[in-house]
Amino acid sequence: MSIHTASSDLRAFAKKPLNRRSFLGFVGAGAAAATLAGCSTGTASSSGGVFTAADIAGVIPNYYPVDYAVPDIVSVAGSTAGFLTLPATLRKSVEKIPGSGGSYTALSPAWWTIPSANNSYFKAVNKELGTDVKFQVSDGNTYGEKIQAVLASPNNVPDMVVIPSWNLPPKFDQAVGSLFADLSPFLAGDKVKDYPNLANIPTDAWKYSVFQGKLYGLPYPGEVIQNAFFYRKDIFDELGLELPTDADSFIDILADATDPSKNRWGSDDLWNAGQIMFGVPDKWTEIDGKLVHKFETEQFRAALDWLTRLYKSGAVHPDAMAGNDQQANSRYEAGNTLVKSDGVGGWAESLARVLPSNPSYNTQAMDYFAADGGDPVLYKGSPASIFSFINKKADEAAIKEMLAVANFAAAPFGTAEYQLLNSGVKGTHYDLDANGAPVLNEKGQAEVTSTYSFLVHPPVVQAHVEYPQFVTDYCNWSARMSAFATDPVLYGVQIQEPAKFGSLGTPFDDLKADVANGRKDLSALDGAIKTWKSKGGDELRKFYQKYLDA
Amino acid sequence: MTVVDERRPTPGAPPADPAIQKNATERKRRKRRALFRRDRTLLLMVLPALVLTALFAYVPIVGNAIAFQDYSPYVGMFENPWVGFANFERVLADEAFWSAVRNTLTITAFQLVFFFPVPIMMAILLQGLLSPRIRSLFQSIVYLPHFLSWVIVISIFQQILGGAGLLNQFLRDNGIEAVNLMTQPDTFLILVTSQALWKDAGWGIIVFLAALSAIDPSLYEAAAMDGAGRRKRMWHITLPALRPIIILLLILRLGDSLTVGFEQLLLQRDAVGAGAAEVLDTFVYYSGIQNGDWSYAAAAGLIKGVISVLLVLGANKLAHLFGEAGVYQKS
Amino acid sequence: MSITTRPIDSSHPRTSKVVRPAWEEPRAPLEAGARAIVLFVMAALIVVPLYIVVLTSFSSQATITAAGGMVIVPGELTFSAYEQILSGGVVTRAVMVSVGITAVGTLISLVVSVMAAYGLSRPGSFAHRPILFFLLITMFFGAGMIPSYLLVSNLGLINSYWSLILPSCISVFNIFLMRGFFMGIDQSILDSARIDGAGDWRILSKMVLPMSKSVITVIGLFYGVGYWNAFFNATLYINDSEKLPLQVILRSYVLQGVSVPGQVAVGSGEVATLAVQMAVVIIALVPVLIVYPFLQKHISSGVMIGAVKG
Repeated sequence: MSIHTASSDLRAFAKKPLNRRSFLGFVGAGAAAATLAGCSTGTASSSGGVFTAADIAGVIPNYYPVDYAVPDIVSVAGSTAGFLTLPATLRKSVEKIPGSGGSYTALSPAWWTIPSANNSYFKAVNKELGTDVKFQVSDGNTYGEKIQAVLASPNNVPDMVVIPSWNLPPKFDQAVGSLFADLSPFLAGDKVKDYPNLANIPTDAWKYSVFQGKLYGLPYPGEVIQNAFFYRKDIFDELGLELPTDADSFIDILADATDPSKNRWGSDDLWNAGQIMFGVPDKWTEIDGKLVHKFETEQFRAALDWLTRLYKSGAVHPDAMAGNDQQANSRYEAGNTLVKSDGVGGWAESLARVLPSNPSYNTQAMDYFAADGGDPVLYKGSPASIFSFINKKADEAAIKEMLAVANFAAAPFGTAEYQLLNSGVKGTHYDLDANGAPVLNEKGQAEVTSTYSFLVHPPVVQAHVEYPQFVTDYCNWSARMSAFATDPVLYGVQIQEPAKFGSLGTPFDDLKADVANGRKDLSALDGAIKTWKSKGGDELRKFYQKYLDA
Repeated sequence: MTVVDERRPTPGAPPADPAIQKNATERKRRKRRALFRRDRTLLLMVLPALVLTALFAYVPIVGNAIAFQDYSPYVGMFENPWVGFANFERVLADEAFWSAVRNTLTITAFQLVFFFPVPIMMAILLQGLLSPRIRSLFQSIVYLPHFLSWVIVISIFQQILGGAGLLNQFLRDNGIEAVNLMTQPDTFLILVTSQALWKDAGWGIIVFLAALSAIDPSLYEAAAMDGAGRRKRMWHITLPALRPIIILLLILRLGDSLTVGFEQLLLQRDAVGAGAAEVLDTFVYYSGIQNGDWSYAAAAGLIKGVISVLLVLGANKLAHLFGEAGVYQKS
Repeated sequence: MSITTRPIDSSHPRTSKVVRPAWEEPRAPLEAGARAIVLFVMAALIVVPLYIVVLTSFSSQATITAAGGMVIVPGELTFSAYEQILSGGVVTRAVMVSVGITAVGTLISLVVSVMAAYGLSRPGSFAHRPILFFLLITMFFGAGMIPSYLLVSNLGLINSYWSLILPSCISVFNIFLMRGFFMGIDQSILDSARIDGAGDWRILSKMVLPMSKSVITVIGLFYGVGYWNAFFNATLYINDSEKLPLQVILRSYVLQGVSVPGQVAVGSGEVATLAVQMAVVIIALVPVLIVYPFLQKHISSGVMIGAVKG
């Protein structure tokens, strides 16, 4: 084909956001980064009326926790619980086969190699389910486009559709009611007792799945603290570096550690976690009863100033300064940077990548501190990061069957179902190592991917029993940090913004790159705020104020 | 050598009736009908392309009407509220839009001078190589980077020219201060063109190799016999023979000029700042597409399209003035 | 009227001897030297980074970590990146899909384009200006993603291989280019044939095509590459993973994996190491590397019409 078609293909491909501005990254970082950046996660104009807290409370399930395995490290103030070993016996949470022979299509994203359809993993799970769930797995990076196209064509909407929160399309409030089934009649209040695993999902996650006052989504719960400063403890110890206690000493320590001749820089781009350190809210904060947007806050200004000083000190890796986020992990794992800002999901993954060739690799999450050295203000992350929806055209029996499938998928850690969904069949897909932890073999790696897990997910626990030290470190860190967790304004309320506000945040991303790199002065922030206000910021404030007052 | 007079009807057609000859329009109509009869087969040959174009290009292009609406994909296409030129106003009022246009035109103009001629020169240089072995070896290498995605290309450039790259390691080892070539807004134009050259110059020579091979070598032979040296032969034979293709590509390239490098610039936007790297397509992406503001994107697309058409038609007219056929002409 | 034709095969690989035409003067050593240097530098600028990509794809993770990214000095070598990609049959299946789509698509595109280019290459033919304008305009106005999707859906082509061929079948740029070459053919020869009573089909197949091997090869290459590299349309229109072409599968290796909290087995979602990413690049290049040399000699060959005598 000609150049023209090729370039329009590229154009289409590159519609995937290629930088941290959107979601290339981890589930936690993705959702949090999208909100941190202040850009609307592609949500739509409000057509319906404002819904109140009472509306929401009326349609969500009640909470009935279940216990199949007792965590070794318990959850504290909402932190993530941890397991150091696999329970000796895996109990079955679903006694009889949930399905009745139905066949359903499900659209789901993948940020990894797309598994072959109808492989032995799918066959095994579908057999246990008693239904045939046929997944249409689509490239995660272009998933936003795919969703928009599919939802625009109602005949092509599958029976179940997974939509990550950052891919919710614009004007979704119009779509959700016309395309998807209202689940409140099936799950609200005590009706959820038919689905005990769904009842085990925390209330906040369900609240966040309420769109336009009705329950439409099945949630994938998120963690309370979703981003962190990660540092190379092994290298820190080797160089005799101390951990920072406030923002300014942070820069000094990183600058001291920088030695370009040894291909070593203090840090990567620390903007995301840096904002957290300064207590920048995700979107809004309330001052004297009025909504103040994150861009307008003093904290944002201070964070940007800090980042600029960090860049100027020469402690940041040049490629990171040039906006190359994709290789941030490579740089960190090679020891070219010592500190990075990342989603917490990347921690275990990093260990899996590096430990085989570097057994002394030790990456840890830094305890947060406030910029001035005091206690940090940590705003809770989104209670749910991914949703799935059921096609409105399904009849009652079909919806019930799909909810039964969801119930299976929501089986918590410690159950046979969880093991099946996450590791496949013993012997075929995985074997147990010396610690009794499942280790995927080659077939398992190719076939066992997150598909059912995206339909709905049990409360998140840290269950990487192959790395017990990691589980301990992680859960203790999570517990310590959760003590500082606080609700942001309008926490957990699912609000769809009008599309025209979507690009209000972009100039601030550009501003950050310009100011931090010294192309513009910090004072340019004032101009940007003024423009933001006149171009829609004030309107946006009024829009959200309605929900605050409701 | 017989010459077919296009204006005379083909043999076999009835001679012009003297009575009708007085009626000019009737004559014209007859000519047109005759022409149609003569070219029936040709039109038949074009038909599949026309049908496919009408179906797969024009039908979706009609979708650009959403530029005049406040579009929602969940409402039937024609049930969306019509907002007239509101979206266009939004686009044109945006200071960032004009900055993007400026950048786009600058980059295009720069590349027209520093990129466009390079494949031509390389092809001519290559053609003069005597050894077929070396020639085919060279050919089979230089086109390869075209197949690398921009992500890889930028990555490679960064590995070599970036702040932590080979060049700077070398400089540091020798006591010279490191310079990050990938983050300089002032030299960004040169960087972008170098990247484009590295990636696509080799691919671009293919068309010109084909064009060069269509030149009759006996022309060279005759010229050499007449005493014309290498340079004269190139100036008087090679380049004139390439002229129609060059002009055609130039005009088409001009039409494409507002589409200059999307992915390439998207990847480097943060490195040098939006001020230097924002072009029309990235602007539309960040302001419209990324947030699903389809009406906005469609409006910007229409503006771009109209300007491109004007550019092409203008360039075509210009080519006609120079006696070239251009993209198409009256006869 | 006689027409002499002389095949020129100036890049025939079998010729190992350097043959200089009798009339061409020998090149001044300085000039030859300068040319050699220029070409060598160009080639080196391209080969060196490619070498780095290949080397990295064959390097072990330890070597890559030690090098801090791309590998320049060879260290430990391993096939594991390629093994990881090629095992499991997903890639092989995708290759077959891609080959099929490319072959069928290129054929259809070439046939339609050749006919259209020839049909528009006769000076002054009926309605050629409006038709050309009609085609030209489509180059400047893009179709939106959603209208295209709805069209494909209404034609019932969602999840069909035809959705990857028909919508992108026509490249107006290629048609214009081919037309340009056709118009460069001496029209007088074609006209004489017409006078002699030959129909346009005959002229196209018996005269124009044999003379245009070069441009048809080039345009065929352009179309083929276009089909081979396309992936976004597959992402959009194809639902079944067995029908996905190679580029989609390969790209999924290049993405940074997303780790999902709570997953027990980390292996799921093979996070692509740098070696795998580079191996993907090389794997995507291999078919091109195989096909291109065959096309090369056709590109540089021209069947020439000599002077028309008589």
